[in-house]
Amino acid sequence: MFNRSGVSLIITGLMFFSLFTGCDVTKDATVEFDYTREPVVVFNPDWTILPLPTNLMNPGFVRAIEVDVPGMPEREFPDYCVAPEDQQVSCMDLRMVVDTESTEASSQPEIEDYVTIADIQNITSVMGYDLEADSNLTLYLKNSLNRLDGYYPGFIPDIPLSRKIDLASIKPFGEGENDFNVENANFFFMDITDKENPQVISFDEYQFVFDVESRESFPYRLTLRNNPDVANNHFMPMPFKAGNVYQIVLTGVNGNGIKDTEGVTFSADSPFLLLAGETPYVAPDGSSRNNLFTDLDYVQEIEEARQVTDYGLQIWQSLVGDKRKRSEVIAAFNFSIASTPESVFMDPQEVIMTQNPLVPEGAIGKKYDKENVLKNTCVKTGVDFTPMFSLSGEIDLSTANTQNVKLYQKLEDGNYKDVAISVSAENVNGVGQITITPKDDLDSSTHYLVAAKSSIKAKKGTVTNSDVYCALVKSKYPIIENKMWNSPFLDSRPDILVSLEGLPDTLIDKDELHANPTEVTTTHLVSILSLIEEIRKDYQPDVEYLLTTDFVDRREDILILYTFSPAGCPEDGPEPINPDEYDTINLVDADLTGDFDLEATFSHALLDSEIIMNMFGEFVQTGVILDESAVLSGTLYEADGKTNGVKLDDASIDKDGNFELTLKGFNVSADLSDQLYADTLADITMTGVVYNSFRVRGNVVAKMKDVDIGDGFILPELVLEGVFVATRRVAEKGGAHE
Amino acid sequence: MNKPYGQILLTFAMACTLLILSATNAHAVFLLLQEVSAESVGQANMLTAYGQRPSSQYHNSSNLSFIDEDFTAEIAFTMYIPIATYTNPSNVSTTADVEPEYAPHVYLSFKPTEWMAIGLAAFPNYGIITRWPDNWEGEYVVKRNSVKSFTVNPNISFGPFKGFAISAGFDATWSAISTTRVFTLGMVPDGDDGDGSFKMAGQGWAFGGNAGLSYQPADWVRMGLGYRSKFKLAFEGSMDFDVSEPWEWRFPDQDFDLGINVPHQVSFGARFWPMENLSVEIDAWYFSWSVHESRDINMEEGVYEAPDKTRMVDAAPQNLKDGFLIGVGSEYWFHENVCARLGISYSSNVQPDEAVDPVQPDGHRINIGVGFGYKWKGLNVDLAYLLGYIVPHDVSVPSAMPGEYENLKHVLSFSIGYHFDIFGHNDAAKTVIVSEEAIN
Repeated sequence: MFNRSGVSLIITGLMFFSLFTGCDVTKDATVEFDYTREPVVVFNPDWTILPLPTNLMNPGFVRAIEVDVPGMPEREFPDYCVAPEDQQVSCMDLRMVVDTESTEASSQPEIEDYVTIADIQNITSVMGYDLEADSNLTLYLKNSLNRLDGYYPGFIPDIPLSRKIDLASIKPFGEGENDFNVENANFFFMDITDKENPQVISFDEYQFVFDVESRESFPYRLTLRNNPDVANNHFMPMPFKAGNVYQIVLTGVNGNGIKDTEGVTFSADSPFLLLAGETPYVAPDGSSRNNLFTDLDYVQEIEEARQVTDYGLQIWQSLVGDKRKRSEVIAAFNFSIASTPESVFMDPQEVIMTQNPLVPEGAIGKKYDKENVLKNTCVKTGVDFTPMFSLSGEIDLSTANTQNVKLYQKLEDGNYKDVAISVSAENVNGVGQITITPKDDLDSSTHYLVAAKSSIKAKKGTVTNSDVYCALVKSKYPIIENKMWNSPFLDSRPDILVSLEGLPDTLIDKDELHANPTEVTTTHLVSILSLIEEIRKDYQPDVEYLLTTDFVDRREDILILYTFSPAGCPEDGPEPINPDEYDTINLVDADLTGDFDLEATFSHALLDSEIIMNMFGEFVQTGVILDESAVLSGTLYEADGKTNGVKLDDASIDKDGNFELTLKGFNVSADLSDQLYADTLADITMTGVVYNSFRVRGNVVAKMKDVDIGDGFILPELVLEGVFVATRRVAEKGGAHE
Repeated sequence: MNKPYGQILLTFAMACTLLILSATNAHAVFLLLQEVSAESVGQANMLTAYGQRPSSQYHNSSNLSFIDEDFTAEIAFTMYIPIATYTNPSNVSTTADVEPEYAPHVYLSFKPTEWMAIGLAAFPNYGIITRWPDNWEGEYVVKRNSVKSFTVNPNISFGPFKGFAISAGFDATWSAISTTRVFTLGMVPDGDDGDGSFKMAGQGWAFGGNAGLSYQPADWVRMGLGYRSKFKLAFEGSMDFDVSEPWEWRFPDQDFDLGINVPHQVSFGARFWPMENLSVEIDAWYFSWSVHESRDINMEEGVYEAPDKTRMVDAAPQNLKDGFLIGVGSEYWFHENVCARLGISYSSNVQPDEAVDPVQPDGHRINIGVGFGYKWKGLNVDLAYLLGYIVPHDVSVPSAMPGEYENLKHVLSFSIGYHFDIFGHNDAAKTVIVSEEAIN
């Protein structure tokens, strides 16, 4: 129809036409990106990849940081993060990662809000590392976390990095000796609880722990830990303040930023840039103003996180003024510490020191003996013992009553008996203390179970909760198996490293610690977790029993539980002296009046040899032992018989010759080992048996306060347990005979 | 090739070149463009039953059979001045940049015999151009958007026989798309020039068909039925992401394809001549816009929304509704060589609220056209103006950008044509009434 020239004209014309219509599009070469090569502050707070524990994980957190996303429906808390008795607390968005394909899925807790492995199966290929489903223990701990309005005071903030960092390139901001000024600093750590008056935390108050895991691939974790208060004998990193909000800001971009070990400056991860934007992603009418994400509910979540990030960045900007630009920031996040009062159940420092770590008086716990053998231990109590426990914050006194505090007697047949008690509470120095007073004397040598539930309210009305250690003891799931912990939440090696670094050289081989920090801290962590696991096993029958009662519905409802045994721990504690091994008891005319040499032999897991303390006692006995009227009094001296005389409290001796005597303020001045020298006052308790007028044997506990253990370190308390033998000075009695 | 055909072809080729050099732009009623000539614009595009110019083969290709001239060439230029305003729920308004857009057209009709006519039309069939100001609040939805098309449409029409004429045609549509918007990627790192902008451009061909039927039972009335088939505007091209460095790996530049379904169009019209020099036409159109369900950009590599989520398709659900248009057009020759035209039409909104966005906000439309025509010997010159008013569309349901959309367009069209007496048996100034011979 058309000739060649005509067709050519048309086609040529249309081609020109097209040239005039298109916009300038130039395809650039694809950027090859690899987290293993690019130094990036890895920032994936909401994609279930790296659980960076910040308030970004908790977009529902509205107490400290108010967020307002127009049109967003009120957040509905899933069952797993709703506290008992309708007390709503913020739900940490610690997403449950479960493997629905797993054959073990049926054993997993029922969770409605979770992310499946299938949902995120291609993360590995993109991010370059494995992701596993949460263990049952992790799921349980997440449930526990979600009952708080923030993180545990001892929680460990991490900053994941894609490359190993040159720690010397970190320049903290502050006014301390080791700080940098606002122009040069690249690390900002602030307490932003008071938005109008942010408090810069000097580098004198915290430190970094990097890659304590000795990872072979990213993410490498830069951990921020508060310094321990060594001067006051706290070797663990100091906890964050309950209810406070903290902000971390890292800057970079230019050569003044933090660098990797090859000198390359770290840069921001793209998700952080998304959250650091100043323009809302949700319009005032509630519609999306974002074209990166298609789902409105996801955009709303991102907007919440953006507002939380913006909150902190605005405070940072008010601090640095026009000397720094927001666009220099490569990572910023804030975290809130729970204000929820927690039960004070375990002293982590005591755990480090391998003593009985349980805090409640009389509680049966575990300790390692000298050969690292686990043994039950408890402080012996009287039958008139009034159990008590504390919470980390003030409580509403009216909420502590017999409805949420119980005392059970564990009967020999395995059953439990509800013991009649009264409950009293008081707030002392910001700490809630609850005392249980049994109506009647307790039975001796019988286990009792103290239990309380979290409906005891804080003074401000929120629920109370277990501390992390009690949460572990309550757990249905083992916390450690085959020397490997069952949840990443338990990896407290940074804290162990800080603690060990703080201990005097006399107690820890620093050379080995520095040469093999991962190995040493791992060993300690395994040891500690093993100890807690043993306690967990011991307490499982008690937890299981509580769950059968109307007292609590779920493990999470238990605020605290512990057992004790009045008048001795029959199957536990130091092995009592067996009289048959040495002496035949002859109490017919036994009279201890006179002078005795005492030799006490102590052992301690931290010490590498037994300690022998020689003392001299002047005893006076009134009454006859067999008549149960005998009372022993006297004075105890150092071995020379002249110095440090301390009067014994009067001690009754029963018809079987048993007695318990105490002396307070005995000055111990002795070499405890080749390296450890003690010069302090001690309270000494001796539980013994009178054999005859010449020999007394028994068990001894010496509690020493403020023990100077050298190098300027003071232990607040050192408890030594052992045995003693008291032998009459024959010469002064006119001849030895038995 | 004999002389007449060579003349036709040369004329068409020259006209196409003119189109090219004029850098065609367009603005549309939704995507559909109907302002094919000044004759059409002056009567609010009501030409299904009757058209005096070759451009009327757009409305109904069987109109060709009723153009008595041997060979007629017509070129038209249409200028659009769109005025679009968006008012957000906080009553903050933004007006799109006002820039005239031009759309050229070329039409030929040739009637080698009394019973057959052929035609060739080249016109922008679908298109839209949107230019929102820099840094406006909806730049994440669209900053610049352009859909252009150019259809080459040969037609053949037989008749009239006993007043009937029937026709068919083939449509080859070249289309191009270019879009610019800004990604909401948050903060731009210090010293990085990646502004988050996104550009894409592509083009492609699509093919369809058309048919027409006319019947003139008496000299005072003629009826017409027009049809254009559904097809898919197919685009293939490249995407360029100009994002900051941390985002680059998530947004690789890549190729894409995109298909936009355009509807079946059925029109019916009847034109009446109450007076010899006055004609009035009533038309009704039906558009099956429901075929356009989604504006899906299929990406070759995709973008990483999140490490666990790669978006391969950028989908914008449209779920359009079928629509209709009704209108009245008229032409009055108040002078032997001069006529006046007037028309008005109403078309229904085809866009559900959920799909309304600044890329192409639509609504109920009212078009009012007015024009004049002049003929002298073989020359035809037409000029027309059309006011297109889109009833403000207040969108409150969740959508890309809820708010109120107001749209107005001014359309100015100029056509010039000339008919050649190739065979020497046609009068230069044929009356608008077809002959009794043709009817019978």
